[in-house]
Amino acid sequence: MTAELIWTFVSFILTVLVFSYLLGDNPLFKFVSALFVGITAGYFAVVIIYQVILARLVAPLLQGSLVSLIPLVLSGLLLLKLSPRLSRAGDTSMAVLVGVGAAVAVGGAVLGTLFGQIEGAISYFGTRPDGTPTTVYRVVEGIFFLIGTLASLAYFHFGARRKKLGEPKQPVWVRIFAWVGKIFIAITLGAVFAGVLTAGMTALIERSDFLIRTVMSMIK
Amino acid sequence: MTMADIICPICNRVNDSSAERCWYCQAILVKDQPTGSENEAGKFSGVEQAGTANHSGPASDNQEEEIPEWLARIRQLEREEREQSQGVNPFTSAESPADENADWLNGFRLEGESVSESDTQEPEKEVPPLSEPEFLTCENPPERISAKEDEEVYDAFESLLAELGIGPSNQLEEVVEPEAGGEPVAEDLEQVESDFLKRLDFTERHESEKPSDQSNLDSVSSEEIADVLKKIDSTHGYMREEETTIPSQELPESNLEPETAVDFEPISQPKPGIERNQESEFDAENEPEPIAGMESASGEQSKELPTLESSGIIPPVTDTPRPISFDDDDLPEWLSLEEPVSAKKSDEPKNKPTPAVGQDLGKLERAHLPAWLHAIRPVEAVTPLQPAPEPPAEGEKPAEQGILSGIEGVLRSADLTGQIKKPPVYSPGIEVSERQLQNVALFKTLLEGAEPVDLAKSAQKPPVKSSLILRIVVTLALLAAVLMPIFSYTPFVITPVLFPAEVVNTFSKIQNLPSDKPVLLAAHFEAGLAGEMKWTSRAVIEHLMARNIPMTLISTNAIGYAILEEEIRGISSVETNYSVDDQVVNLGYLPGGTLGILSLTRNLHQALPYTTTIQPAWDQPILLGINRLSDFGAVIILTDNADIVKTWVEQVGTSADVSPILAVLSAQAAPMTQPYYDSGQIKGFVAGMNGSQSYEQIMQRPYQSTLAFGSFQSTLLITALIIFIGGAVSLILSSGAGMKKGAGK
Amino acid sequence: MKIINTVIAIISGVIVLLGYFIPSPLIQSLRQPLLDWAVILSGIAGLIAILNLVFGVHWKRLKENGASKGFSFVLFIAFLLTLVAGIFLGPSNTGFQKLVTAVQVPIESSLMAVLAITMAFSSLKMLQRQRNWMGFVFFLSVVIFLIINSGVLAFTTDIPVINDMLSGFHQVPVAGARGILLGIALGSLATGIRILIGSDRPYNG
Repeated sequence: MTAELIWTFVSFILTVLVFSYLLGDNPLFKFVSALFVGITAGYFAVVIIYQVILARLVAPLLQGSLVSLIPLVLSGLLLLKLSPRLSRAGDTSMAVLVGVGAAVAVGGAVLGTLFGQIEGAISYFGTRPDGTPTTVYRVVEGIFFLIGTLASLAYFHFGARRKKLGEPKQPVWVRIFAWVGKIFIAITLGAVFAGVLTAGMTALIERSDFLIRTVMSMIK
Repeated sequence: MTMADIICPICNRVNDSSAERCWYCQAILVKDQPTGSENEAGKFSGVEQAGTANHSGPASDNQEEEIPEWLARIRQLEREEREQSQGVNPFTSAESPADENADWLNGFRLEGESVSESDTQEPEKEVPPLSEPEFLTCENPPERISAKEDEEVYDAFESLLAELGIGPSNQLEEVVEPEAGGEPVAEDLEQVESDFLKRLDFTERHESEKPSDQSNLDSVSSEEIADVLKKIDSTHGYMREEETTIPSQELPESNLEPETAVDFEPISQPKPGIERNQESEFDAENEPEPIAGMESASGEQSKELPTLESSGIIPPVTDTPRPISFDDDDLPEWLSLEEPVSAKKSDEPKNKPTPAVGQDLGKLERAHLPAWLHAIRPVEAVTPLQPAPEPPAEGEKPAEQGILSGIEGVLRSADLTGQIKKPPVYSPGIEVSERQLQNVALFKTLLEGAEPVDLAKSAQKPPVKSSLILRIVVTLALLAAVLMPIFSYTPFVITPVLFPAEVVNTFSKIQNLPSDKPVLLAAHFEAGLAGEMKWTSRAVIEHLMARNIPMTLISTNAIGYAILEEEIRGISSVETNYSVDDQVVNLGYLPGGTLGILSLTRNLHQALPYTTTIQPAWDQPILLGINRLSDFGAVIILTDNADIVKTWVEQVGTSADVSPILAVLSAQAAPMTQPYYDSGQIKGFVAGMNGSQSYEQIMQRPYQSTLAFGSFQSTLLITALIIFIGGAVSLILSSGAGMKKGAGK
Repeated sequence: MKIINTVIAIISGVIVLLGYFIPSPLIQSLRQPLLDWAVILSGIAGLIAILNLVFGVHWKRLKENGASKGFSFVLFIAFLLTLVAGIFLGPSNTGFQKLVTAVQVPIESSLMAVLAITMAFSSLKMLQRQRNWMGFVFFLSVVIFLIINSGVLAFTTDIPVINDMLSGFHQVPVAGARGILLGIALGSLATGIRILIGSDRPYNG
């Protein structure tokens, strides 16, 4: 309990020091920021050592798995990236990482997002997932979403043909479609920004609640 | 030439009537000097005679008598040029006057035979490699002299060579180019001398040979050269006019010394036409620079040598022609090297016959320049005439150009004249390609409508006080919105009646989960939004605990699993029926992000082999029988980032047999997660305090979300109001400013 | 060496990609070790980032004479203490986890709260910067969705027209978000293929 109280008090002090930024940048805030970065870096290093190096590199080797030598060697080469002179030696490890990462991104994008979202866009025009038939309202809704989706995609199309005389211009219908897409994107980004503000306000409410409860408990 | 033109008394060349100095030799011209004068006629009479010897028929003779002498002279010159181009060497003609052979170089010239045959037939003879004074170089090979004179010259030459210890060399023969249709070489004597002269000649030097050979060439001291030439000159009495007329373009200025005027032997013999042509051609292309210190000899003909004498290279001409003195002090450095000459080269047989002088004289064309001068011509230096030839390998033919031409065993220098290119001319404008123009137009269209930022205004800092006051007001307003509902006994709260469909689906899915199958909770959120995630996930975790469903915790970031475990332990203190130690297994951090999630779907045990306490994970009681991801009852993603949902859906949701994916999200991740719910790839999600409040309402358990919902609503409303007021004020102010501008106009 | 790295990247990428479409045991047997190695390497990459931050940036700053030397010292000491404590106690230790829950969470949450106030203050001048139709649409969207998120419009559930309009407006971001997600997927596809064909080689120095 005492430890809990101490940690609670530490949290309280740190919260107040961070809120001091509302009055302007000050050395206390900078101190807390440096402390935060140092502790985070140390914590992350401990997690990597235990969860990656010991669990996935050392333990398999101790169990007699010779295949684990390959990732051990690759990890060693990757660590050479810290040295400016020897950083080239880590290129092989980076090649493995980048190659596998690219393949995963491609596969996931095709199978997960592209197929899934296209299927979702046209699902309004067919039977619902629960088996019930679609309705007119749903079809109209589907048309609206389809137009919005295609218009948003058209907004990101920047190709244009250059005519003999004059500046390169997109076709008129593409420009109109892109303008419609711009509206949809503006609304979507507005919703996202509202969500960010909401999350921030929730954090403010939670911190304020914490301060009040701490003060109340101290008073009691 | 017009009657008003002036003939130079020194070089006998025609100058403009308005000229004060001779264009060619810079001698002072006397205005009252006869122009088409008898002197000219006398001078050129010999030329006429020589020229007329080539004429055919008496009609031409009669014509020559009628035409003025100066015209005859010109015609003679033209005739000689023509003959030269046809391969006839006028200097080999027996009718050539003795005056034509008065040049000191005549001693080194052979008569009669072609260069090509001499190159092929004559055995190699030793010729001393001599350095080549610049003023002695000429493009054309030396003139031929009579055989008798040649013999005398040759004897003298041989004796000199013996004194110097210089033997014959092959280089001379190799340098000489065979001429097509040339005259045959008469004797070896002539060949040797022609070779020697050829060495002195810089005509069309090819790549230079090894420096050792060059050193042999230069090894002879200038004094020795001077002695050689002195002997030859004294024997034959060469003319000095040639020396006087060679421009001193390359003479060092340091050697220029004021020389006293010396009587110069009047030129009684006509100059060889080719020489004159050569000089005129040479001078026309390279204007001779006036030599400093040269004193004018007014009113007198040919009193001094204007160029070479004043430079000090050649001493003043006396009544008797004097040999050219090669004083080391006056010569350029490359002429005054004192290395000994190897005598062994004299033993080397000739590989190539040297051309005859007559044949060489066939080269005496108007357009020919000395090779050294040709090489430094500025026009050709920037425009390559031909590509640079490849350097031949060692052991091949000797260098054919350059100052070491004809010398074997020297390093070949690269011919840079062909490589020098005209420097590029850069236009002051910017070259813009068509594609760049297209991109510019695209950017322009993108920026259309965007108000140009007034940098001057934006650089001006607003008054500190108003900004700080506004900041304080906003902060106080928000804090008031947060705190007032907390401290108020009757908070103004509008509780939502209708629940979002995604929340309802989540509740129903969890409600229908089998209680024996564990649920995988995958956390990935930052500590900054840990508070919101705690409040949002509380109801869902409480629901799972209420149903006594085991939970397996993982996180794809380093701190997620720690925060989640602490949250679960805190909730379990309330839910006393749920034992965390028995029902919850924390597998810790799954590195790799997307890669880790994919490896989890393919090989669950290998992806997460241990718990956070370094215990074998899949031996835990609740995880027995769990071999694949689909063996879990559900996968619940707790994240504040929509990309994590996308990753899980892409890597896990594409499997045929996949557990239902649910999500507990921060409010900021909800808009971009909605399409995945809409497409059915996730079965439900709870987002933000709004969603969790609805979930708590469904569960009929008021937790933190419900308790703080008043603050939540008021804070958001105050924020919306602040933004709306700010936007409205901006619009009003901008419209007022616009109206003022319009009124001002 | 660059060619070897390129070949390695292409081969490993192709094997993993084929595993998505071809359920061959051979390809799966080749694919799984590659994934495991990549997971380990990504963890090591995170460790390299931390070591570079601490020793490459702040340790150098400590050696130099600068104004921010003190804060680098605090960072370095905090890192060392946390590292030593974690190695001795282990990441599962409750006391060690308190470093996260009692230090990191309050600091970051407070920073997020301060950020929210700053964002609200900055949003005051939203229309000053973006005075065009799209800026106005964005401004309206933010205000409307803040009101929707607050839940005060729950009273409109009894009014069918407004309720339908609001629910419809609530769905509008789905279309835009879907378009954005498709665009992101297409971009990822293009970038990934460029790497798999060797056209882009970000790993070669």
